Amino acid sequence: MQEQYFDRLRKDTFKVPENYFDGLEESIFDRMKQEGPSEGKLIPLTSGSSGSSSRIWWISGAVAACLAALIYFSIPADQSPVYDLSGIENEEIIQYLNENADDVELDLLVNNEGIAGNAFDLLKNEQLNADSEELLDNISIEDLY
Amino acid sequence: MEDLSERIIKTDEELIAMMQDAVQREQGFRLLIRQYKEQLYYVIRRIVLDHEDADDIFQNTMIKIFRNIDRFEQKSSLYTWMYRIASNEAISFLRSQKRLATLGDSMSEEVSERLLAADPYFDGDEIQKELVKAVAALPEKQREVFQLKYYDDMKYSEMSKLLHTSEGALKASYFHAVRKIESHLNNLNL
Repeated sequence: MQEQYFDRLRKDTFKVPENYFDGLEESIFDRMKQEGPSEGKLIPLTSGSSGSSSRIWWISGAVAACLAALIYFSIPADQSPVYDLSGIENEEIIQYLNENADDVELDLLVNNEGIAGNAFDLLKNEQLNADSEELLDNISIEDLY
Repeated sequence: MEDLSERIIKTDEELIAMMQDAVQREQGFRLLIRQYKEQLYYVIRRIVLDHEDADDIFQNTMIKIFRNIDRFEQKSSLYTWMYRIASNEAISFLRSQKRLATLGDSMSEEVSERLLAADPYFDGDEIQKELVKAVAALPEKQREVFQLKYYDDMKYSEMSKLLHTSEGALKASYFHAVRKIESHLNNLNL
C-alpha cells in the first residue's frame, strides 16, 4: 500500500509554465540589468576637510568608549549561556520534542559526534534499541557499499 | 544564429574558469544556467512548493552565484556550492515569510495546504498532495535527506559530501523521514 503512495509521489507533480526554462536565461540577465552592479558606492570616511576628518575620529572614539562601558556594565559577572525560548509557545516546544526527541538521540549515536562520557547509557533505553534495530533492518545491502 | 560551441556541455572547471575570466564571464554564466537550471529550480521548488516563489528565488540564486563566483574556492564541487546557495535562499525566504515553525524549520500542514491550493502549477491529486504535505512537514534535515534520496536518487556517499554529514546519520534521517511519512499516510482515510 505504502509503495503505491511513494510511487505516486515520485511522479513529478510540480509543473512549470510552458517554455518556462527556455526563457529563464534572458529573465535572469534582464533582472541583473535592472538591479545594476552589485557594488555599492564607497564613501570614504576621511573625505572632506581635515577638520571634518578629525571630528569623525573624535566621534568614533567617543561612541566606541560608550559602547564598551555599556557592554561592561550590562553583563552580569557570572553568566552562563541560556537559550531564550520565551518567545516560543509551549505547545510548539512540546510538539517539537515529541516529534524529534528520538531522532536527536539516534542521530547522535549514529553520527558519533559530541557524545558525552556516559552517553552510551542511552543504549539501555529499550525504545532506542528497537529503533536502531529497525533502522538496520531497513538499510539495504547496497547502501552499505 | 546560436553559436554551436555554446551547446557543448562544459565541465565545472571550464565553467568556473570562464566565469572568472572578464572576457568570457557572461558566456560562462549563460552556459552554467543552461546546464544547471532545472536541477537547481527543483531544489528550490520542493522547498517552497509554489512556482512563482520558486521562480523568484531561483533567479536571485543565479544572480548571487554570478556575483560571488570569484569567492568560490573550489573546496567543494560547483554543484555542492550552488546547491547550498539555492537551499539557503529558499529556507531564508520561507523564514522571512514566517512559513516555517520556529523549531525544526518544518512547514505546517495549514501552510503547505494553502500554498498547494493556490499554485496553478501543482498537478497532483489528493494523495499526491498529502504526500507532498507530509514531506514539507518534516524537520529540515530529514526533508532534505528524503528529497535527495527519493527524487534525485542520490547515493549516501554523495549526500555525505553535499551535507557534511556522516552516512550513518543520513541513513538515520532517511529512516525517520520515511517512518513519519508512512505515519502521516496511515492516519488518513484515503
